[in-house]
Amino acid sequence: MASVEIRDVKKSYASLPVIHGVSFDIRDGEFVSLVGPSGCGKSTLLRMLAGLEEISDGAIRIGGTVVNDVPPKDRDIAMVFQNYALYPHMTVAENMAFSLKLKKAGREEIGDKVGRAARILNLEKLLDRYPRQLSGGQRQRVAMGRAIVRDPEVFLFDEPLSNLDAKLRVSMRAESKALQKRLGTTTVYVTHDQVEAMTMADRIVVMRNGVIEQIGAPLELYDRPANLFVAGFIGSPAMNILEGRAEAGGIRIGDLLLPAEMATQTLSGKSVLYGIRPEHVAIDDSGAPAEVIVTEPTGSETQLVVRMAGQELTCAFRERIAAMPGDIIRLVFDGRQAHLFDKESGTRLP
Amino acid sequence: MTAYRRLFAFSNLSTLPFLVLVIGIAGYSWVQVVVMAFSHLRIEAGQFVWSAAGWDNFIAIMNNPLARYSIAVTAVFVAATVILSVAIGIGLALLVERSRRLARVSQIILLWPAIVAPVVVSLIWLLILSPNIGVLNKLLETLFLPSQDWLGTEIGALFAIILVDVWHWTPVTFLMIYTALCGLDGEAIEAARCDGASEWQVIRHIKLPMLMPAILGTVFIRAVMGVKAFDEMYLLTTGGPNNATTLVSLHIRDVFFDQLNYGYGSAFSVLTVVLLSLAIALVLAIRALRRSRFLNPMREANSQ
Repeated sequence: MASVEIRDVKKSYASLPVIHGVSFDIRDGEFVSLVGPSGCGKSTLLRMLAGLEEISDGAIRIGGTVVNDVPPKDRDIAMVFQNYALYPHMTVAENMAFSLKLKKAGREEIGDKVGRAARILNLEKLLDRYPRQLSGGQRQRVAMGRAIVRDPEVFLFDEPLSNLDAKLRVSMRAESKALQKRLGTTTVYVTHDQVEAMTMADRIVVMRNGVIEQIGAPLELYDRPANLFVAGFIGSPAMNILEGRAEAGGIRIGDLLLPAEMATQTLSGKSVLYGIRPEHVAIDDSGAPAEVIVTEPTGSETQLVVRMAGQELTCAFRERIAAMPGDIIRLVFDGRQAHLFDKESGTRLP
Repeated sequence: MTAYRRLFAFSNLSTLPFLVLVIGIAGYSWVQVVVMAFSHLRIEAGQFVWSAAGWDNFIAIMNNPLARYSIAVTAVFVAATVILSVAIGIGLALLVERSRRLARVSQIILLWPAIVAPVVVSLIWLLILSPNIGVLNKLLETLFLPSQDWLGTEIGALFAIILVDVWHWTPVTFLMIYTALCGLDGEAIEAARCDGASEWQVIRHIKLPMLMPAILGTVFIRAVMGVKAFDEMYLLTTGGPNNATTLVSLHIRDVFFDQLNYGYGSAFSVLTVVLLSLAIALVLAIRALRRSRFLNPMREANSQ
């Protein structure tokens, strides 16, 4: 196990820069998730960690050693790929044993390690099967098994659950996280699914267009997003963003004065963006009127899209609401949970 | 839909025209050849005169030393050209795949021999191998080495037709294997690198096994091409010297068109097809047996 340091790492293809100098550290045994929309550079960064892509500039250290020019085979990392990348001509047991055989491990050691991984992942009955005879979930477990038998310094995961169906994904999510905690191996996990990142990671690195937007623990990102992008990316349904103007008592949006915990005094007169999560809106007779546009009952909660002061927003309620499109309801906002962002730069205010 | 319409639906009959065409042309002549193989045929007054021959033609082949020799030469020729052209094709494909800057150019240059007409190929190699004016002997003389009559000695001529065939058709094996190589799952190869495999181990344990279906297909096609090989050899050596390069195809041509021994020629054609089919069946059977656990219970332990 080892810590990982990423210092001013840049990547460009020909003259096209795709990663513009990112830096962060991963502690020994930590589970860090790289998350962001497609094309943000998260997979490229992971591949640079693995040694499958050259590093254009900057340095990557694994366990204190700079690995920029170390080929993948000498980095002591294990990678799980999106499409599992199993060796089609080898059985499950042979797939898992491959790295050990390359290391010239003894037959007994190979048997022990493969057996242990198979027990952990519940693959014992499948050891003689070929990858083509397995379901998606089973293949995913074999790919995990192949990583486990290595007992590497670092696990690298490249969207390993994205090809599974929703139900399996949830159970594999919990299994993978429990497994990582049990093995205590430093892990970097790339995903575009913020729920996956939120539920599994110790810390999340949010990336966009080759730069890091924010690094923090899952709930830190949820509670104090550093900018509009993170605010919109973390949390589902996404945070509502309303345009307004700061005043002494709150944020003025049309005729409404919305409460905000922050020091609106100092911002007074400034155009700001007011962010409120759907779950921080409540129905109350003292509230401001809003017209219901769409109702979406999901069972566990009711989501409403409403129009208020000329702007649309989504609200989520734990209780069932019997509102119909066209109805007028009255809403209050929880000022302690409101976020303010600069209108020009999109960065968080105070 | 009625049963009638289901039966004659387009999806059922879509390949029928092609089947009719293939059976009509190839099937008819194939049946004709088989019938001829079991017949004595004479031409009298411009007409074929048929009489049943039983196994006579085949017995004649077995008793003919030149026929037995031509089968042996063909076997050597096919084995050598298949092994060499497939091995070189694999090597070239692996090299071109790694080459970044020259990949496109090398593909085109490497394919060039395959598009040259066999007559031209023979001419090119005659000019290279000719004892007096050949480039090869000129080169040897320049280096103060003894020159050789390449096409005049038995071993030299056999060596020459193998060389020419390999030169001519390796581009085809290269192209087939290169195409398969480009279609391999890149993630599996990267996974092997992360698993600690060196470049050579990636080739040995991942790329070659994954290429096996393509390699096997190429071997079959090249084996069939080898048995059929005719034009370059006919123009280069005409089977000589001393019949040293009399391939089955040259022998059949000689018997059929020069000696007008139609029954014998047809019987030899049938025999060639049967032998080739047996060889292919043998390879497939060995492959199937090697895969089965019955023959190889230890494969898990020693497959690496």
